[in-house]
Amino acid sequence: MSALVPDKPDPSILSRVRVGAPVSAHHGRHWANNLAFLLGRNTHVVCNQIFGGNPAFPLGVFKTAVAYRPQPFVKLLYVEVEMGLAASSGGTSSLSITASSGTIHYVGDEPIFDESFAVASSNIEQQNHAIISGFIDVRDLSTGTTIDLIVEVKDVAAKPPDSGIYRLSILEVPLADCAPIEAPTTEIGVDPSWPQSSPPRQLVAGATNHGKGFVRVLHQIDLARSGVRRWRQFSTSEKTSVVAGEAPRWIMASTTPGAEISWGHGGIVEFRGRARHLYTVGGTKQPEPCKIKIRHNGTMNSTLRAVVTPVGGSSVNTDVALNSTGGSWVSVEADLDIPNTGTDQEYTVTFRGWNASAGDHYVSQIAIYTNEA
Amino acid sequence: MTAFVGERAVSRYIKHPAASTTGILSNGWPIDSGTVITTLENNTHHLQHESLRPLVWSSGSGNTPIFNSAAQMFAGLPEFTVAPPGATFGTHRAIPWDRKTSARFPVFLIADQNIDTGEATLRWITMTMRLTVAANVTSGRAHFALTFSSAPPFQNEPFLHSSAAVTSNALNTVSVTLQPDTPIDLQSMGTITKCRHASTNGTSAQAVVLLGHLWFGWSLGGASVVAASRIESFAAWEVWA
Repeated sequence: MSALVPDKPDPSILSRVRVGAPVSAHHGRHWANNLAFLLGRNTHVVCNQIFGGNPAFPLGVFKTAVAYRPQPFVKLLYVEVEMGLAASSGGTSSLSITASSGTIHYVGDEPIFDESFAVASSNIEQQNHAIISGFIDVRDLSTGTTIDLIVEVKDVAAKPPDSGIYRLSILEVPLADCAPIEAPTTEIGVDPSWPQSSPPRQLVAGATNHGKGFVRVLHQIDLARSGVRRWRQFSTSEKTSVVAGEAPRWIMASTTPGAEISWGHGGIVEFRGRARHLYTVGGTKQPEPCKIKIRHNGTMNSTLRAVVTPVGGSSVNTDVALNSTGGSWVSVEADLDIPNTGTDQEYTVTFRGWNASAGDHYVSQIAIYTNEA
Repeated sequence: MTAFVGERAVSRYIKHPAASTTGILSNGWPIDSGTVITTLENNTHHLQHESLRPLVWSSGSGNTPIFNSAAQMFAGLPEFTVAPPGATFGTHRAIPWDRKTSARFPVFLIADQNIDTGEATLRWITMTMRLTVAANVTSGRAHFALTFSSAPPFQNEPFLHSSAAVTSNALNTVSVTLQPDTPIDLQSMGTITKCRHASTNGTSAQAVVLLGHLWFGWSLGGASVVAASRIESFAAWEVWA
C-alpha cells in the first residue's frame, strides 16, 4: 500500500495557496490526506436500529432486509447483533447475512454470519446482553446498484427456542491505507508524494485512472461529492402475521389519505437529522438529492408519504406509489429531496400511508440515501 | 465557521467539468491559483464541512414500565438485589441501563483537528428521543451517554453523559448535544480492527478505530404501572462545534 488514510482531516487556510508561490509537495500531501480521509475514513452507518418488542417465545425465522449500495472504497462492513431475550436458558440461533444480488465473503476462521455458527440468545434480563459482532466482505458486490442485505435468524434444531434479534447495527469500516499508484482503478486516493516526486515539482495532468496528477485530484474530489451515501433507514421483520411480543409489523390499514402508519408500538416514529448542502443556485440552497427505498407487501395499491420538514420551515410531502405485489415482498424506489434550509440544516421526517381499498398493506423497510448525480 | 474545517472561499461546492473532460488541466497549461483555490481547496474543504454523518435512525422499543422507586427499577437484575448506592437522580447511575431503561448503538467515532489549536476532539453528537408519557407519571428523565465500552454507563464511567427532564405527560421530543472537548489521540485510544479481507491470497489489513457507543436512557416514575408510556423513536447525528 502506498498511502496512509489519515484518521483526521487536514485543515488549512486559503492563504497557503498564494498567488506566485509554487505548487509543492505540501499541496499534494494536503489533497491526498483530505481525499483519503473523506473517502476512506469518514465512513457511514448503514443501519443502527432496534426492532422493538422483546420476544420470549419460539420465534422460528426472523428476516429483515437492509438497503445498501456498495461503494468501491468500502471493503468490509462491521455487523453487530444484540440477541433477543429467550423464554428459557439455552435458546440458540443461527445468523445469516446474504446479498440480494452478488456474493458476500464471510470473514474469519469461524464465520458467524454464514448460518453455520450457533449463537446463544440472551436468557436473562440483565444489563449485558448477548452480542455477536463480526465482519462481512463486500468488495465483490457490484457498485452502482442498490441491493438488500438479507439478515435471517433461525432456530437451531434440538436446542431451546431462540428469540430473534433485538438490535442490528451495520457500519462501514474505515480503511487504514490505500493504493492509488498500484491499483488506481479500484483504490481511492492520490499519490501523497506528488507533485514532489520525480522529477521534482513536475506538474502533470495525469488521468482519472492514474494515481497522481491534477485530473486524479479532481476525479477523487468528484468521487467524494457523488459517491458517498448517507444512510437513514430502519426496517422490521418481513412477516404479515406476528404474535404478541415479536418485532412488530408495520401496517398501512386505512383508506383515508394522510393516515398514520401503525408501527406496532402504538406511537409515531419521527426522525431528525442534518441535511447535506452542496450547491447554492441564485442564492437558494439546493436540497440534498436522495432516493427513498421501500420494501412492501400488499394486494392493493397504496401510497406511502414521506413528510420532510426543515426545522423552522414548511413541510414537503413526497408520495410514493406502492402497487399491489400479489403477496410477495417487493422494493420500490423514488426520488426524494431533503431540504437543508432549516436551522443548522436540520430537518424532521415522518411517514404516512393509506390504501386504495380495504385491507392491510405491509411495509418492512424505509431507507433514504444520498443520490448525488 | 467551525475551527475544524479548512477555510472555504465560498460556503458551497463549486461546480466543475467532469475530471475526464478533455482539455481541462492539460499538460503544459498553467495551473493558476484561482483554479487551485476554488476547485481543489474550496471543494475539498466544503466536502469536509458536509462530511457530518447520520448515526442512529431507529424505531423505539415500545411500551416502557413506570417504576415507583429506584429499588423497583433495579429489581430483577442479577447484578443488584437492592438499588445500588449512588443511584442518584439525574446522574449516569440513576438507571440500570438495561433494556427496560435504555438502548445502545455503536458508531465509529471521528476526531477532527482544530485549525487554531492543533488539538483533535471528537465531533459533537446530537441525540434525540421521542417518547409518550402516561398521565400518571410524576417524574420523567431522559439520559444520553457516550461510552468507549459496550458495558453500561452504570458500570463504566461514561465519556459523556447528559440528562434532561421529560416535562409533559404526553408526547415529548427530548434532544441534547453531547459536546466532547477533551483532546484525544485516536491512535492510542482506538483498537485495531480488520479493514480489508483478501480471501484470494490470505492477506488482510488492519485499521485503528475508536468504536463508541451511544446510549439513550429513560426513567419514568409514578405510583402505578400502566401501558400508555412508550418509547417511539431515536435519532443521532454529528454536528460541528
